[in-house]
Amino acid sequence: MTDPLSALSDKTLVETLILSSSVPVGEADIAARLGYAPDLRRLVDELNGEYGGRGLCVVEVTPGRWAARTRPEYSDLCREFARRPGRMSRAGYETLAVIAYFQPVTRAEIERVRGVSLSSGTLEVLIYSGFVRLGPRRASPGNPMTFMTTDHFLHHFNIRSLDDLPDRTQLSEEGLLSAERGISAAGFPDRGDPG
Amino acid sequence: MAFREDGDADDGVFILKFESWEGPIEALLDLAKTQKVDLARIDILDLVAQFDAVIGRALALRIELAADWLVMAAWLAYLKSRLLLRRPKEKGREVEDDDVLAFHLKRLNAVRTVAEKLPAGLVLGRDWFGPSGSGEQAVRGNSLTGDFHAFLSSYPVRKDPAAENDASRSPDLKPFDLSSVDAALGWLAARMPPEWVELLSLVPHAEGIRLRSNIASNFIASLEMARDGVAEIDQADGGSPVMVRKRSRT
Repeated sequence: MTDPLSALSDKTLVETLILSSSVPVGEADIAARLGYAPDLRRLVDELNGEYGGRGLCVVEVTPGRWAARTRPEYSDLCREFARRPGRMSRAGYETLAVIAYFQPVTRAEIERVRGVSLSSGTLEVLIYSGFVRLGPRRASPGNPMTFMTTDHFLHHFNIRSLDDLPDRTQLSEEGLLSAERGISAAGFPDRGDPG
Repeated sequence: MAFREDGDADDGVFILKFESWEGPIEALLDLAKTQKVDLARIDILDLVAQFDAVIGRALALRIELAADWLVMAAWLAYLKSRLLLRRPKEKGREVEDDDVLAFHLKRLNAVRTVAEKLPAGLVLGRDWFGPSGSGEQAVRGNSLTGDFHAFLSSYPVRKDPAAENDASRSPDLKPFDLSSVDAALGWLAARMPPEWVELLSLVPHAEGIRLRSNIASNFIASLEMARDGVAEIDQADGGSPVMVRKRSRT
């Protein structure tokens, strides 16, 4: 009895796996499924060459992991079928940015960076949308909970990795990526008033 | 000097008017942050007055814009007040407060900028789409992974009718009722004899915590009646029973 998979080319197998997976697929996933590791990068390049001018492409959304995506040019068509994504408030995006750039970050630090106190629903919405998850507790007085972003956040906003966040290196060089200093939400300098 | 809303602009640009400045507040704040405009020449009283005017009319305006404006005005007032009330320098303080403030503003600005850049790129479910299952299109992945929050939130969404029946059956707990002092007042007033009698004998009988509650409320009620002059209360010493009687009207 012959393995039905052997009748298919590696390219077809990889294509099938990527197109059918709901999460980005890496070499390890392919190897676990096929029993051997094909040259994924070359196969994906070939696939994309064949897809040229079609409505589909295979994108390396995270280093070493690929996912099928519709071409952005045709997104208007697809949108009809998809669920309307929930709109997020500006505070939501700002909070998300703070968490993404300063993670793991506590609630108090988010408030300090943004200079305003966090309304109760903001973090919950982010967690519920799957962008933010709970991180380890901070080893500081009160053991506050920290927050981090998820892989889903990266995939959703088409960011390859946390190092590829927009302007990340620039901010880091300017030394802005510290949640320690600044003015607390109450508007007073953080180190407390003398006297 | 007056604050007004620019009638020509579509989305309500707020124009500030000072002797040294006339223009939208956003621009002023930006320039003030980068120290390109001299805040010392901005009149804080004017700022507060215009601030006040906006608070008064905030409900009539688009609330989002009004909120933004207030935040910016607050920042301006803060910057200005920092300028007026310089902190005395302290020994051992290495970082100047102004530096901290500048750092804070710079960082806040950076965060605002990148927050705008986040949704500017290709967004899954908006600008392009993956196979059914990715992103917000459905459940993520086919394996059962989750975090603590997912674990917790899995309970309220459970729709199993059998489980609902289970949940609706309340646990077998006795109601936690205590007798009220008001009820005891009425009870005692009707039964208080003219001769001395042990208070305990007047307490309505019950079991367990209910009895203890009755004793406590009746005791308080008897004290209350003694204070009002309706009853007399007496106890020979710490160990002896509490005696009560109706006060004879003389």
